[in-house]
Amino acid sequence: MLVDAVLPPDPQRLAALTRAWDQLTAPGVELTATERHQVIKDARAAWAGASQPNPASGVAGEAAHWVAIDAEGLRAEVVADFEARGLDRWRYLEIVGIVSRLANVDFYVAGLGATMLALPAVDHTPPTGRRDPAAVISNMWVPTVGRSFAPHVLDALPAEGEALRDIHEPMYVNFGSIGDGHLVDVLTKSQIEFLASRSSYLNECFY
Amino acid sequence: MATGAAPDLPFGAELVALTDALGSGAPSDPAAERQRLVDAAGPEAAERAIGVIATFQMMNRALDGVGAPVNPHLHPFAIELGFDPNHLPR
Repeated sequence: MLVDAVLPPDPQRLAALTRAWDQLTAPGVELTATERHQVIKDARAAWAGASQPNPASGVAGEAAHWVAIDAEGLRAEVVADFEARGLDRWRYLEIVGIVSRLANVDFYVAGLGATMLALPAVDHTPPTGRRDPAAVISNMWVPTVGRSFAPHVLDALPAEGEALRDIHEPMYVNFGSIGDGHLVDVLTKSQIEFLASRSSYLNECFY
Repeated sequence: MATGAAPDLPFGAELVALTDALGSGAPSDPAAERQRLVDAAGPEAAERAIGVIATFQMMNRALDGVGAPVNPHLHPFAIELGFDPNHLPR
């Protein structure tokens, strides 16, 4: 993986990336591996310039497309419309998780100048169906466990929430150090936070 | 493309250039901007920066995709920056 990268990956980040890719392409909670692979294809098609969602993928394809290229443009009524047309909130949440983590994987790979990761053969094991029984819709458009904030927004589907944090920490900072303004590794915390805020600015994300 | 002055940080101009090249739109190879940062700060710093940019491409989509509210403890900063987080379109 990343053998042709212009810039070599840090070993910890490479390990996290490998785990993320394995998890993304495996059967999920609500979605089969075939369905998750299609979400990945639809998100990548959006990034490659498709102006409209893949009609063959139905409402799930619409969700994947817009989360990939215009997440900041989503609104409560759009998600309600998805639901009215057959994409329930649990499946929508899984699609958000897939496209989001795929963004981490694909932007990192592209940033290092490596070839995009190719989808593996499909694993036909059924989805786990494992939801957090305490999850309900409270302060977001999707089920959450309590009144949730980052990085716990996917935790109604525990495997998705754990997978997000598993790549988030090695790529950003350990959660215990988020408030440490004096943190220094190869970058200072000020440089790290500048990169984070500039990226969010570019995506018009206020959270 | 975003505009504005580079931040008053070590390698600020190179960090801005890499973030804008990699983080605007689709994932694509920011070859020239990556090399500028490598030349200025070294390959480890450039790789580290790419990881941070990539993870915020994830978090931005996750938070916007689920309609997450701004955490209340950050509201004072939002007000200081000139917007009311209770009135964001969502």
